[in-house]
Amino acid sequence: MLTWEFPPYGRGGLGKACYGLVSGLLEKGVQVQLLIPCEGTAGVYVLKEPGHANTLSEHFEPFVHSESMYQKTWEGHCRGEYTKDYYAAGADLLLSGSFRFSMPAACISIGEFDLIHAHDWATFPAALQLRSLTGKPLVCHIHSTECDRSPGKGEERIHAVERAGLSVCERAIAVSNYTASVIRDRYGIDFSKIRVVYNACGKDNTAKRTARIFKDPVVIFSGRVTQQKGPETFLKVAERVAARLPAIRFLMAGSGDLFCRIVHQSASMGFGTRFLPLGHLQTKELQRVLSAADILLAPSVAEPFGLSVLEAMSFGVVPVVSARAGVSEIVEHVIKVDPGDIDGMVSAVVGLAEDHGKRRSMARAGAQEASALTWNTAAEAVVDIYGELGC
Amino acid sequence: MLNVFFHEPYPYRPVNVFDPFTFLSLFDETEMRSRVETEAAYRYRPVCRKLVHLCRDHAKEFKVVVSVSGCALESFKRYCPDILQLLEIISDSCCAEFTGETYYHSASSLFDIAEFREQVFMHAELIRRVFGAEPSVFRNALFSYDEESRDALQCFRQFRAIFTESGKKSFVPAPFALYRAGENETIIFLNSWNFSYYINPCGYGQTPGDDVFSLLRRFFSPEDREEDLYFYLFLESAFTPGTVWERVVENASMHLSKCRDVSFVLPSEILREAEGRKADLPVFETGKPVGNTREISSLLNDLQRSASETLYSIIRKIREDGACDILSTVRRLTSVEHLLSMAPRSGPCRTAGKSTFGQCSPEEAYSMFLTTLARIEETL
Repeated sequence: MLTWEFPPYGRGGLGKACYGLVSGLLEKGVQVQLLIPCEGTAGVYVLKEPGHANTLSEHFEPFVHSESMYQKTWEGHCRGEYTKDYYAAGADLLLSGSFRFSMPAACISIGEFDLIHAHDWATFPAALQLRSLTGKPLVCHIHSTECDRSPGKGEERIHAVERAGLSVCERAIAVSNYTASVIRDRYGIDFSKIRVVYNACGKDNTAKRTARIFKDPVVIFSGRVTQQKGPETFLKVAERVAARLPAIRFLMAGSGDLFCRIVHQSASMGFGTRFLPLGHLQTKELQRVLSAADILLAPSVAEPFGLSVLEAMSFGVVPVVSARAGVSEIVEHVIKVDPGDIDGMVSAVVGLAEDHGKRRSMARAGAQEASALTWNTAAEAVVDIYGELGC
Repeated sequence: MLNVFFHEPYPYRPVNVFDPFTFLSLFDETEMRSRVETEAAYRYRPVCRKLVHLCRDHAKEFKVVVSVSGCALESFKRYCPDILQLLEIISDSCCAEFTGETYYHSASSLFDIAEFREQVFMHAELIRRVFGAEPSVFRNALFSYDEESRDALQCFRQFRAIFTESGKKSFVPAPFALYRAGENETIIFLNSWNFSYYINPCGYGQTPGDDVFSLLRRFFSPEDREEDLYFYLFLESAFTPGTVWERVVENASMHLSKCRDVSFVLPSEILREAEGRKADLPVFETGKPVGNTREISSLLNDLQRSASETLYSIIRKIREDGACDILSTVRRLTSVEHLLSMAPRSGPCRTAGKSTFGQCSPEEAYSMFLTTLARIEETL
């Protein structure tokens, strides 16, 4: 399995999802050789039993490869043999980022695994090379596409990498029907090889409400502060809600390229302590904040799934979420609004903030709903897909 | 006019929303002690000793203006009482005068006049109690002079002049100009930001063969002028390395024997001269640009403004509630150094350095400051 993030490496939703899925697969008896990029190379972790995902560093193994195999791989690269599918995506991009663990990936104990499971575009060049070298089936798991991350045209070279991976792979896993539609429509991928496997909530569903930090209702934004996640919409909603409910507090947990702009905008708007940009939080810190929040506002422009919504629900936070987000396909106890419908978001937040009873009943039902969505279920679906490929 | 400024803001521990919060742990006493002891060894002690010598050996020629914030005096008393003793010796000589200040070296005059008045009062009381001194000039450098702050100072009869760097909308390019405040009795000493910057100690440090007094004579030829020309030499810890303090004071003693065309002056002497020709002094109009203008707003960005407005609104609330113990703690946050971390790295404020937050960005500094304020607010 190739991924770009995995706890404790990486800080995003991809890492959380991979962790949940690997934990579920290990429970099902599937052994996982996990490849994660490190500085200049890749780390290989051989995970065989449930619980190994929690103690990653203990399962690091040096690359198992013969000198001749390495030589063959290197010569192949020099001749361009293994790169024809994706080399057009831009040598600089590949060499500077994802390609740097193509070589080690190609050199790991070839023949000792059954299939290649690659998460998101950054791992696709290496996965394609492995497939080319070994002939093993490739499963491309799409957590988000360049269309989602970069509203508008996006980065054409990344589109090319995504298209290359999805075209060649034997199966594509999408995290929602929404994402399945995007990869069909944007890349022309045959629907028959796409499977939808929804993300799930953390294995630890013992999330509990802790003591409140603030007396007044707290609305939280949780995620990367990038255009995709709609932080500017959050700010606009906050401004209008605060005009009606001056005591309400808004917390923004996350960092990203729009963080500085949002901080300056919020300062100019005179929120004072009613709008607190918290920056990136560690998992435990985020959990502490979630456990003391009331409403999650997730105004993403595009949201393939929305793991933060499930996470918030498990802590008894009521989400106001885009109706087009992938997570909206599987949860009921949330308030769904059209993306960009600021009036709708304002009404939803004000309604929840004012109606403590409604908030409490939705929070309770939401927590139960989230806890029913487990990674074991997701892992079962993935094992079925492996079975379709004869593994 | 040689002015040395002693100030040590309290370093506070930024808290996040999930951290436990108590007023007791808001300020880092260990860090404060370490910082004050370091500064004392590096800057304050050697300079104070040199000043003591100059006051003793050149009692007729040497004069120094001492500005010291309330928080600096508190920490000297607690961690370096010998500095306090040296300051007392300097104060007892006839060579030194103290300026009035805000207790915490705050920008309170811009945001809360009642708080400004209170901090000026606290500082005046402390200077009176510790040194038995009663400053005749109030120094409101860094931030602006305006009618509101001037009127707030009216209740302090001792202040016959305000020493400042700017009006709300202007900085003047003159070296040091005297004005009168309209019909008001107050005299205004208006220092030039541009000039001070031009001859700042960084430039001085780049010309090791010169001393700052020689530079002065090169820029202004006293023989060409009928009136005295006042130049303000300001040594502030945030801008000036400790070694430069020492060198400037050393050069001052050399100057005493070599240069007869430049002499030291005290605020009360300038004031006497100014009051003698008060009717001839130009009226300072705060809204009117003078010379090369520089908007005061360029010193305060949106983050600093928002943080200050929020802080002073909390202080107002605490004052109204009469929670004196909390008030004295929260007031420590008014030191302007807490705002400097919210300035862009390349800006003039950033060079002041004394960041409470280490190497974080202005936005992170703002966010931590605001979160701390939110936690304080929640306890009220």
